[in-house]
Amino acid sequence: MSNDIITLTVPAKPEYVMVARLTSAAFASRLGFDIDQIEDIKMSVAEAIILVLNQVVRPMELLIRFENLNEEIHIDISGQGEWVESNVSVQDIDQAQLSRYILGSMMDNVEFKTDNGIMRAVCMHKGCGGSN
Amino acid sequence: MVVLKEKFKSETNTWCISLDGEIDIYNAPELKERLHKLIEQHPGNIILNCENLTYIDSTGLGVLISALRRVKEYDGQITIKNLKPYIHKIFVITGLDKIFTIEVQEV
Repeated sequence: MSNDIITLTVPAKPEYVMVARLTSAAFASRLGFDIDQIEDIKMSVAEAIILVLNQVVRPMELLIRFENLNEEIHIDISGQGEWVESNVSVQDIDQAQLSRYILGSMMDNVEFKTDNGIMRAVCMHKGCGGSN
Repeated sequence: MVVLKEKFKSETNTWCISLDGEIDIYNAPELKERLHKLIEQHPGNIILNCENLTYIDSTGLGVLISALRRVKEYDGQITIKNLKPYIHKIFVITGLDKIFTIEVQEV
């Protein structure tokens, strides 16, 4: 399969996380991932978005890029546009560790891109033959 | 979308709650409010039937942790029943299987 790329821009709002999850599942299915791996990928996309959204500031938009590279799915999720104050609770911010555990366990590799303590992007990949 | 159906059993002082559908960052705040209201109404033990729960993210787990904190204030318990194996996996990854009493759905 060629190195196809899908890019998706959605408003940085909780109601659009499902759009990203479902797109990731459809793309991963096209790449030949099995059902368990697709569940892991869907879950990881949601958790990466939660990490970017549940902060003291959040972006106006999310850019989500899926790429098929060497039999791996590469997913980059980044905040775009103006970053505005959010009304997220301290408890929500505390949950970031749960997201990190889930991402670390479900993907082969995860990279967090922060700037002044703010999570600007999450880049991750998973191979079809991965052990996770 | 998550559907919560609840019934209070006074003889055992227990809320039997079924959680159906998906718990995500969108509907987690509403679920949190509803669970906290039930706990206020009758501070009892909680049995969560997750037979028809198909997805939960970290914000949903946060709601359950928050409910557990409230319930522990009066030495109550939360038991989670009939978790699907792939959702149980999330509880194991996050270590939450150690703080909730969990029964996994038979495959």
